[in-house]
Amino acid sequence: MKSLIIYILLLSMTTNAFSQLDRTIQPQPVALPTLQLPTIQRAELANGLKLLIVEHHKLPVVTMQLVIQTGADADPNGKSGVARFTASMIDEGTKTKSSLEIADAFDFLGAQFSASASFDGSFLSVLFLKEHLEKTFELFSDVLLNPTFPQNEFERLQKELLTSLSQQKDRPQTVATNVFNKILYENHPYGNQISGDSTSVTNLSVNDIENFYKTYYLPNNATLIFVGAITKKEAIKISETFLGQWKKKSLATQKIQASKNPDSTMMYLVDKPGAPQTEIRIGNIGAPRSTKDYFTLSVAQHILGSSSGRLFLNLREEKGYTYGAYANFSFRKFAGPFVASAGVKTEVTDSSLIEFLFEINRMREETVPDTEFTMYKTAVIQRLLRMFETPSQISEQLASLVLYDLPDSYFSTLSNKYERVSQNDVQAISQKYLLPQRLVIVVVGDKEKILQPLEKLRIGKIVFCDTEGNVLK
Amino acid sequence: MIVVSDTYSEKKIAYKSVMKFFLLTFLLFLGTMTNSLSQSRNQFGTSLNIPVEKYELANGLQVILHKDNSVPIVSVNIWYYVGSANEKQGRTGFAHLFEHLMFEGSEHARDGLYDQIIDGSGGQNNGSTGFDRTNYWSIVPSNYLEPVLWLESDRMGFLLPGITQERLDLQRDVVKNERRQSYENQPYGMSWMKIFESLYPEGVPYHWLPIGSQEDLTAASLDDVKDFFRLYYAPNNASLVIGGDIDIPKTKQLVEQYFGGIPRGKNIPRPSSQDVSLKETKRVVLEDNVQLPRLYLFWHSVNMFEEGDASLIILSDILSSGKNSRLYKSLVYEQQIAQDVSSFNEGNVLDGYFGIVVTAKEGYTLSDMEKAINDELKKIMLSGIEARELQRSKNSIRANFIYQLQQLGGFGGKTDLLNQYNVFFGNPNRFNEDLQRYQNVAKEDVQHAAAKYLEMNKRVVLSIVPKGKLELGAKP
Repeated sequence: MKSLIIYILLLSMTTNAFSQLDRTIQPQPVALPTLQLPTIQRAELANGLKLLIVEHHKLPVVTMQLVIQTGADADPNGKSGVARFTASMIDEGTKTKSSLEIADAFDFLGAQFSASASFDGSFLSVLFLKEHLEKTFELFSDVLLNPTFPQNEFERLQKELLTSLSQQKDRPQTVATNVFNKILYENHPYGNQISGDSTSVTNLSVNDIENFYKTYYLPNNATLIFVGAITKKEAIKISETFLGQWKKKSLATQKIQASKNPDSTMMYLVDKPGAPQTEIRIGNIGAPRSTKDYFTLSVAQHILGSSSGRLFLNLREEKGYTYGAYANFSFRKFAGPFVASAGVKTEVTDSSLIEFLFEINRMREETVPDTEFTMYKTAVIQRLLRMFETPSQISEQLASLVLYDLPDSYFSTLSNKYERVSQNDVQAISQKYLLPQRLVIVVVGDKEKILQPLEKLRIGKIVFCDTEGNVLK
Repeated sequence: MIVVSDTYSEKKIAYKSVMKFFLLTFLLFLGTMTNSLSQSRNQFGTSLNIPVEKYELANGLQVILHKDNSVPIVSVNIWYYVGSANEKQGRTGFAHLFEHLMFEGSEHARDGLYDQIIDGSGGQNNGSTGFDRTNYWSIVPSNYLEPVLWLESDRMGFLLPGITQERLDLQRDVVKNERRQSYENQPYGMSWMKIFESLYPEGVPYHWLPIGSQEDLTAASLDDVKDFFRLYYAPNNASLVIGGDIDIPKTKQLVEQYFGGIPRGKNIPRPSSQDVSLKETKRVVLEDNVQLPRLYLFWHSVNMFEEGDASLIILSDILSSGKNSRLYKSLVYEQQIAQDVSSFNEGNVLDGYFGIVVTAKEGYTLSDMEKAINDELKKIMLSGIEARELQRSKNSIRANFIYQLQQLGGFGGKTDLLNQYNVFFGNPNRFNEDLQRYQNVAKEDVQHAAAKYLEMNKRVVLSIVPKGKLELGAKP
């Protein structure tokens, strides 16, 4: 007994002794743990509605997400905003319930319902407690199958949206992004805002909403994703009960015009008198989600544009020009934008542009050094470990399988695919996708202070725009 | 909660876009850890009980361990009990500037190594500074626990050798850019400063925001940094939560190994409560580069989790959460005179406040807004609320409480909540008591709270109007 106590004392003395700890030795991580990837179960109803189910029984919570595989890129010409508007009208009235009754019913259950659209899809989701499965599903299917799109609710939301579009002019960050997309994509759908603009929204009618709904909200164009405290059997049963009567229909195919980069780099300036910062957007057209370069581009964008990337380290941590500088590719069904961005102190607008171009060129001209490359690549691979924590995160991941037609085994192959990316690959795709001679550069800031320094840079003709991206004479 | 948040996360842009929402609702969410456990305990069994082990090191560091092996990650979350309330007027923004320096390197982990290790692991880290506290968190694959504890303890014990004048100057620039980005170059961005300047007297904590003023940031010296660190960044002023895929005995040993030898600091002076009550309504009008005028009504309420706090949180729900809430339904949905409306109650350590924010639609003045809000408030004060409204709020609060337990780390995640309870109440596992507060609220409590705290003639009324349109402001 005594000796045991002495032993414990000795042991604790060694481990506790502060002086004995050599802090100059940086401890290394032990062996990487393995992530148990969610098991994806599938089913399909007779009407073509696909079900994806992941059982996750940690908490009595379920998330349900209906993914409709048509989004804002199917907005009819001149009617941008239809997909988003259709989603926001979906819970504004059904054959048996008013807008207020629907909201009250979801809120009373503590269920969080939301409907939205991206360029690639439309999404209805609800997070709820397992004990309310039946009631929540009944409501959810009612808004999905029986929307009435009342005229008065349409008008209310239209006014609200027009007001919020006008408020966007107040936010230089939003102005910069919208102008950038509009100039880069011209008449391609990606040049539009998902919410539409004041002209297109003014021109919308309930008819447009009904048409979009009838054409695309179809079981054979949709997947219902369940993640949470629910079994496959329960998910199938309840889907059949409430969504079995949903009628399938043949689906219109989409045609999208091609997009093209500008022939030479141009700079677009939106004046914001007195602005303490300049918002900068720089980029060109990137690549679609389906590109074989996806994994290499993901590593490249991490090196250049993540919060530990080169732009951030250079413009924020070394120069102190900004609160943050980033770059990323938007991977969509068609080639989305590559864009680098920051809000910088007015006085260093020109210096910041020089650094942006320097870092973009460096990606093309130099191979990334070994240590740096290993660090970034490891980060990209290991961050997968925290991407499957909550039902909502898992549901997000599954939605990408649905939208981009990826196999269920996709997540288990990711590490290997990233592992195979080499430094030479990164340099090669940088040369292919970062195009310093064909950039769109948008700056939103105080013209009086920034114009002269920008002219001296001589990196492209300077054109003046209004807050909506219309070129001023 | 008024916090200044410094994201080093890859989702920074997305995060920042929800920053306003976050500012308004952070504590509301923390506060909405409702009950219903009493109704639901049988159904959920023990799943809502967070298993924790708490102990204290000899140097005063409080340690809370929470094991959750469902994903192979670990969250290291540390709170220091210091915020902008500990600053002096003329030296504002300092706690937050200091928070930035914590990421810049310490004696043995120099020059950005902190970010390199954590980002390089595929992890995330961040920090934020509020009125009363500063928090830091990282989420990493669980095999990185030891490197993170090495980093975290090094900046607690050995920060100063890593801080140079050059580092300070650089982060000062970054923080000034943050101020431009998040306040000066944002529509309505200066509103919060005006509100707190008006709500709290000169020289009293909460009169200034954690972001501070540009002049004070310029004035911060290296000596200030050193004094601040020595006083506040001591183990006896910190609370460390480690949660996730951990082995408890092994983790205890690592904590002792890395933090055990850091010497205890002095006793920490705490700012004291002062009489901040308003004697009359204060009206302030500010012009901004905006399309639409926005009205802010603010009152003093009660300290964090004190009597009345739960009733006021439920009141804010009934006023502005969901289409059927009183203000939304009346101003936005039916009359369509407002574009949006929100309300919130937030208790801090020295005081609390209740706020209502509404944006007028084109063609309406802020006097119209003030009158419409007064009408709705008076209805509640005179006739109380409906049973269904109360139950709807309680149900949402209970559900939100369960939803927020889904996430281990990050702001408002499980480990952050454990620390919040521990720092302010000395007990990390206060979930049940906290939940019970909401369950206990009766219809009359909400009515009384409205009448007691939301006095019409003792509040701050801030009007933000488009440049040159002073006539749109709220007039008495």
